Formats: sequence, structure tokens, C-alpha cells
Amino acid sequence: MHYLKKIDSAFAAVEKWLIVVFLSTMITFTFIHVCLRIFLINLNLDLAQILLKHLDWSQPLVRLLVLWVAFIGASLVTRDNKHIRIDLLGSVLDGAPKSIWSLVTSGASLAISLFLVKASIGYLISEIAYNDLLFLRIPAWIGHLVVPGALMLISLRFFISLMTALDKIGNDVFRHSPTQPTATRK
Amino acid sequence: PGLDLETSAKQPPRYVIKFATVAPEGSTWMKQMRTITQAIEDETNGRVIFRIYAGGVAGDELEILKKIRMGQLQCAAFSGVGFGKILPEVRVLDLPFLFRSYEEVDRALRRLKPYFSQHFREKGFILLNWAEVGNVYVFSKRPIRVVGDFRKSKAWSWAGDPIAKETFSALGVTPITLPVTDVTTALSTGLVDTVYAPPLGLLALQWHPYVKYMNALPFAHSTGALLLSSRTWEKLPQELGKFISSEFEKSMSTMTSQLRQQNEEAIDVLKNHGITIIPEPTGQALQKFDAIHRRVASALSGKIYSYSLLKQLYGILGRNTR
Amino acid sequence: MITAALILIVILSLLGLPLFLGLFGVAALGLYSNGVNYQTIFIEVLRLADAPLLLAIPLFTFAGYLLAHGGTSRRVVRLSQAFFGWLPGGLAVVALVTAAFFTAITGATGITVIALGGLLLPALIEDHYTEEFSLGLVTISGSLGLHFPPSLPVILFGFVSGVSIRDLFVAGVVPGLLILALCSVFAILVGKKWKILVASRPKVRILPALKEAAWEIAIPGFVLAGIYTGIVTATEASAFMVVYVLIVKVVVFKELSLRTELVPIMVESMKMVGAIMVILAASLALTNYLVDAFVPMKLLHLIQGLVKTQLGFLIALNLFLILVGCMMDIFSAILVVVPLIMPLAKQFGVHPVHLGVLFLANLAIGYNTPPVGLNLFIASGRFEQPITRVYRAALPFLLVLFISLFLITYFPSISLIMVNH
Ligand code: NA
Ligand code: NA
Repeated sequence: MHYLKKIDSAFAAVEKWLIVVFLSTMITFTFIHVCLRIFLINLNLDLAQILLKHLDWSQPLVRLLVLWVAFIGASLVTRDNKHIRIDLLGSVLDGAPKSIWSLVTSGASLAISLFLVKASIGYLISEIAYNDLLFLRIPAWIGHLVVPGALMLISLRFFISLMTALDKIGNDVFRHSPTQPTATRK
Repeated sequence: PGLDLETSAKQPPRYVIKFATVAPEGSTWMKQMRTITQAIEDETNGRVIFRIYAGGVAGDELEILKKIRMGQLQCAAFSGVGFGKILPEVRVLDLPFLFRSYEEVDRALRRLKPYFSQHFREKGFILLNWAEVGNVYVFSKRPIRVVGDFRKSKAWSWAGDPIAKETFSALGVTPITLPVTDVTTALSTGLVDTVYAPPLGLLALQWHPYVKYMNALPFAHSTGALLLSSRTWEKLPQELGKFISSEFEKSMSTMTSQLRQQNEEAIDVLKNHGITIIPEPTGQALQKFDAIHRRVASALSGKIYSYSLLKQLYGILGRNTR
Repeated sequence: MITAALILIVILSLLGLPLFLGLFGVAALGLYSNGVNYQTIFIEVLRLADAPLLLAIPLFTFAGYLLAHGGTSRRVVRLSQAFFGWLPGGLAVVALVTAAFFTAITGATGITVIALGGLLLPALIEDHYTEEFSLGLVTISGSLGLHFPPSLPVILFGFVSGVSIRDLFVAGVVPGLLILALCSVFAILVGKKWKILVASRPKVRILPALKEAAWEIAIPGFVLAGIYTGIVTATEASAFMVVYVLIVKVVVFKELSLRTELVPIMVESMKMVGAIMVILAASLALTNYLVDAFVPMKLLHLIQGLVKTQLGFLIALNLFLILVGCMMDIFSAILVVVPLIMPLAKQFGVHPVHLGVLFLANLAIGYNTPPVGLNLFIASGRFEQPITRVYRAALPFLLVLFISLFLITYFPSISLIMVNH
């Protein structure tokens, strides 16, 4: 558990920096692209034309980064346990029932996200088989690697919250049992 | 085999073919398509059933292609966008300023069909028949009569189409690449003032209120095709497969001539909307357009299609190959 | 077996399963039961990487988070007090009008809540509106302005249906203003009841307030002008807005530290983007299943069997579209549903332009109706509020929206008054 949390925060640190780099790239390239086009149309600058031609991969790159940022963001949100949910029970339950219920939802989340990991890997393998290419002849599966990657991290985080919920239930039971000495508790 | 016949006599197996296209529901093309597929269903007593996903509800051509690979769909109408991923060399037919008449188009498509059929088969597709999109023309706010007029235009282009890219480069234009859905806004705001489309497409996309001129010289002829996945083809009993492909063979020529007629009528509608038709250039002006064609054709040969295919096409059209 | 699994996932989704997992689960199970390879859901997921329009979501979100940081809301509130101090609920009206313009530009409703919500919600609360009222207002503000040019859903509707896009825009002006006006009147009435501003606040002088807020209040104007003059598209405008807001925050007001504050804002805003975009991806996957199984078509056939009159058709259409609005995003809904209802509408004598206006009004409302409504989820994620609280907050405004939908649907002249010359 302790190790898992360490791995988790190491990944999170990398993910945060990826977001910063990718978002900056998206802003910069979109901004430059539009500026060049404005220069070209209104001032007819030859330089703008040449640069635009050499930057024709930038728009597909930016679109691809939307996918990366979205999935990395979703993975980090899982870590904060802040995914959007219709939590009709959340405000009703409290204490031990709440812990048990969060165990159930974490378990179901883990199951579905593991299923998605498997399915997405299968999809990427078919992309490799068909040798699909993106801009600049980048293999499609590399561009789309973020999907199984982020889903794996999402699974890891659901696993951690599953263990946390288990822990909590254990603790709840523990606290209510008078025979156990408190000293051995960590 | 005897057993097979017996079971099929009791309960004939149903072959469900899911067909997708970006062509809008309600268009004559789709109506014709529904007639053909209905006829096939009737003639085979419901042994072959088509499920039709029109109007892009199954995604754009690339998504449709992916869905065919994964077996969700079996059949589709593709044009240049899809060909680019399946069999790029077909796009030699989409070269700018290539054909000079429908007769030339028909001749080239007929003569090259065996060649392309075989190559589509190697890529996992059966070429049921050609299904053209039609002649594509240039529409603009300011008149574009000669090659030089392009330089002053704010031309729109599909993103990621190598032929369009090379063509505009030869014309000395850096096009503004936008998704199709953004073009109406871009035309109305003046972000672009020159577009290319088949006349029917221009009307359907409602770009016509924003342009004033159409050059009667076709910018390109956009080829399309009906493709069936080989996997499905192999599962079909031979006589059913033959029947289906002969049905499409029979009706596609009617479909093509209807489509061409409709595109001609669309041009009349555009005239009524006050769009001025610039007559096809002749003499030296036409030669300049041909020079653009030659430049694009040679720049792309070896990249999208082989030089020998281009030569073969020129041979069919009776052009010199230099 | 599959049905049992489906029911289980739906129940879990209502009771705390992250929504995107529920949607993915239903989509995969549905496809599987139809004999389709469930891996196809990733074809839809990867649309996120190939839709130029979607770039606007992360960029406008980031700009919105930047605006929410520092004194922007205070400055905007002061300005609105200077102008509308005499009008109870003045800021609410300003908020609604701004949001309407923003939706017209960005086309997709959710972006408005993300980009402007960070500015408007604290401003409204600072202006002594209750948190719940402010939350409701900001949430539904994403549904206003969908009818005004250059709104992309209108263009797409025109393209799919063949109805003149110009007529749709012209026809949309009065209904669009009507929705806006009803919401504003409601906000003013509430403001009056709560005696907001009028009594409690000192008078603010216009000129200093204007000078102070000019940098930020100009943003919607810049964006609008940039798009309407054809300099940029809506998506590209988002990049300009980011750069502009950064300059204003860092250089002009010096209230944002590039070293310590920028990175956390980037990360926080993209978490929000991630939470929303996985739901979008999952709902695209679900749409794939619904289309594959002809579900909208079957639903419509069902309705068709029950309905015999124009009035009945309109009522059924309203219910049907709200249902559709629950499951699909607006662009998929237009692609899938419009070809189905066009012939029916003709059969029942509904004017195609009127149909377009009520169709879009209906879908926009579907964004705010529980249990599944994208605006509700976005507001819940953006403002870190439980979804049930957002439901409650949006309810009064939702009633106002339903009144306007009722008027637009059953009084066709509201839409057609400008079209029939
Ligand atoms: Na809005
Ligand atoms: Na809804």
C-alpha cells in the first residue's frame, strides 16, 4: 500500500509536468499559426507563407494534444477522487455504511477501468496491424498511447481507493471492538 | 455440403450488411441506394439485408473505415478521404484539371477498374462499383478567370489532403484549412472567399449565398466507390455475392448519370441565385491550367501513385507523356 | 445476463459510480449484445484527437481559470454596480447577456459555464446573491444564446436538414431574446425580493470603475469582433484569449505570479477538462451504440404510433428531444435525429424553420435536466459542488426555461415573425 502510494505520486508528478508542457505547446502553436495566417492574408508576407508551410503538422499535433491533456487530466482527477458522478447516496450515508458503499463503487470502478485498459490495448494492437500513421508519419498507436496509459493509472488509483476503503472499514470495526488494545494501532 | 443445403432450406441464413455513407439521407443518391438495396433484399427473399447509416451518423469516412476493420460495418461509399487511407493510388483520378469531359472520366474508370479492383482486393475490399462525387468547381467572391487570379484569393482547403496541398502550392496560394462545418461562418465573415465543391454540395452546405462566381472549368473530378469488405464477401455464398455485385453494376451507371444531371441542374439553380458562371478558359489561359495539372501530377508521382500508373492513365486519355 | 449487468451499471451510476465509467460500460455492453466488437468504442474516444472544435475546451477553460484568479470579479462587479446599481439584479442580467454571447461564439454550451463561470459565480456571490441562486444562474447560462450567429449547432442543423441557415439565424433572434428576457426578468424579480444592491451599497462612480475593469470587460467584445470580422475562428479565438488574459493578469494587474501560481492553475484547469472530456468521449461511445442499434429511430416509431395531431406531435417531440438531450451531445443529436424528424414534421405541417428553432431550444434545455445533463455535470465539476446541489440550484431557472420552450413550441409565430416577409 505504502509503495503503491509512492508510485502513484511519482506518476502524478510526471503527469503534472506533461500537462504544463502540452498545454503550453497547444497555446503557443495555435497562437503562432493564427498570427502567421493574419500576417499572410493582410500583409502578404512571403516569410509567413514559408513558415506556415513548414508548420502544417502543428494543427494535427495540437489536436492530438487535446486527447493527451484530457486523459492525463482525467487520470489526475481520479487521484483526487473528483470524477463527476450522480451521487444520490453520498449525502444520505454516513460512517460505516458510507465506507462500505465507497468500497462497492471503487470495486466497480476498478473492474470497468481494467476492462477499458484491456479493450484499449486491443484497439491499439489493431492500429499497429494496419500500420496507421498520423502527421509526420508518426505511428498512430504511439500518438494514442495515452489512452491505455491513462486508463492504467486510473485503474491503479481506483485500486488505491479500494484499499483505502477496506482499511477504513477495518479501522471502523477495530475501533468499535473493545478487546483490542489501542497501543498496537499505527 | 448437403447438410448446408438442408439447413438453409429450413431457415435461410440472413446476411446483414451494414452500409455507411456521409451522403445525406433524402438526397437522390441515397434514394437510389435504398432502391437498389431494397431490390436486393426482395430478390433474395430477405437472405441479404442492408442496414443503412447515412448522413455521417456512423462518423466521417475515416471512422467508417475503422469500423469496417473492426467488423462493425461491412460496406461503405468512400471518396478521396477514405481512399487516402485504403488505396492512395486511386487518387490519381482526383488530380486537378485532369479530365476534359465525362466521356474521358467514364473511359478512364472503365479501363482502370480491373487494375483497381485487384489492388482493392489486396487491401481487403471488393470494389462493387465506382460511385462518383462529381465535378468539383471553384466558387469565389471575386472572379477567378486565370491561374494568376488565385494568388489574390483567400482560399479554403481541406486539412490533410496532399492533392489539395500540392495544387494550391502550385497555384501560389497558402490555403486556409478549416473543418467543413466552419466554412459557412468563415465565408460569411470573410475569413475565406474562395472554396471548391461539387455544385450539389455547395447548395447542400449552403455556401452559395456567400459566393458570386463559378469558374466553369472543373477544378477536379472527385471519384468515389462502393466498397464491401472482403471478409463479408467471403462469407457470402458465391451466387449471392455475384448477384449483389451485378445489381450494383447495373444500377450504378443510372445513378451516375442522374447525379451528373443533378449537378448540371444545380448549376442552373446557382445561376438563378445570381452566381455568374465564368466560361471555361481557352487557348493560352487553358494551357496555364494544364501546366498546373502537370506540375501537381509530376510532384505527386512516386508519392501517392506510381509514375507507370500515371502514364497508363495518360495513355487511356490519349495525352502525351513527355 | 447482459440486461442484469446493464441494470446494475445504471443503478451504480446513479449511486456514485463515476459517470464516464457508467457510460462506457453501457456502451460496451450494448455493442456486445448487438454482436459488435466493443473495442469500437475507442474509435469514438479518439474523435477527441481529431475534432478541431474541441481545442476550444481546454483553452477557454484555462482562460476561465485565469480569470477566476485575482481581482477580476471584483472589478466587473464594481462596473456593473456603476451602470446597473439602480436595477435590482443588474449583475445577473449582465451575466446572462454575456453568457448568451459567449455561447453563440463558442457554439457548444458547456464551454460558457467553464470559461465565464469562474468569473461570474464569485461576482454574483459578492453581489449578495445566495450561493444557490448564483450557481443555478451560471449553470443554465450555458443554454442561452444558442440561436444567435455564428452558433455552430444552427449551421449544422441547416446543413443536415437543408433548411436555410440564414432563415434559421433570423428566426432565432426573437426566441433567443425571449429566453434571455424571461431569465433576466426572473433574476430581476429575485433581486428585487432580496433587495440586492439598491439599499445596501454606496453609489459607484462610472468612470473610475470603467477604467479599472476595461481590460477584462473588453474580452467578450474582442472575441466577438475577432470572429465577426473574419480575423479568427472561434477555436482560434480561444488561444488569443489565453494570451490576452495572461498579459492582463501578469503585466497590467501584476496579480498572477508566473513562477508560483501559473503551474497549479494549468494543472487544476486541465483536471477539469479531463473530467469533462472523458464524459464527452463516453457519450460519443454510447452514441455509437445507439446509432448502431437504431435506438432513436425505434423510439420515434413508438411515438409516431401514438400521435395523430400536430399538437400531439409537438408534445411528443418535446419529450423525445429532452430524452435525447439526456443521452447525446448536441452535435451527435443533430446528425442522428434531424433526418428522422424532418419528414414527420412535414407530415404534421410543422414549418421547418420553426422546427429548427424549437429543436435547438429543446436540446439546450436537455443539457440542464437531471439526471443526465452536461451543463449540470460541468457546473458540478467546475465549482466542486455535489451534483444534487446543482440539480436543486438549477431547478427554478429550469422552470423559466420550460416556460420559454412552451411559448416557442406552441406559438410558432415567435419564430416565424421575422422570416415570413
Ligand atoms: Na450561453
Ligand atoms: Na438532460
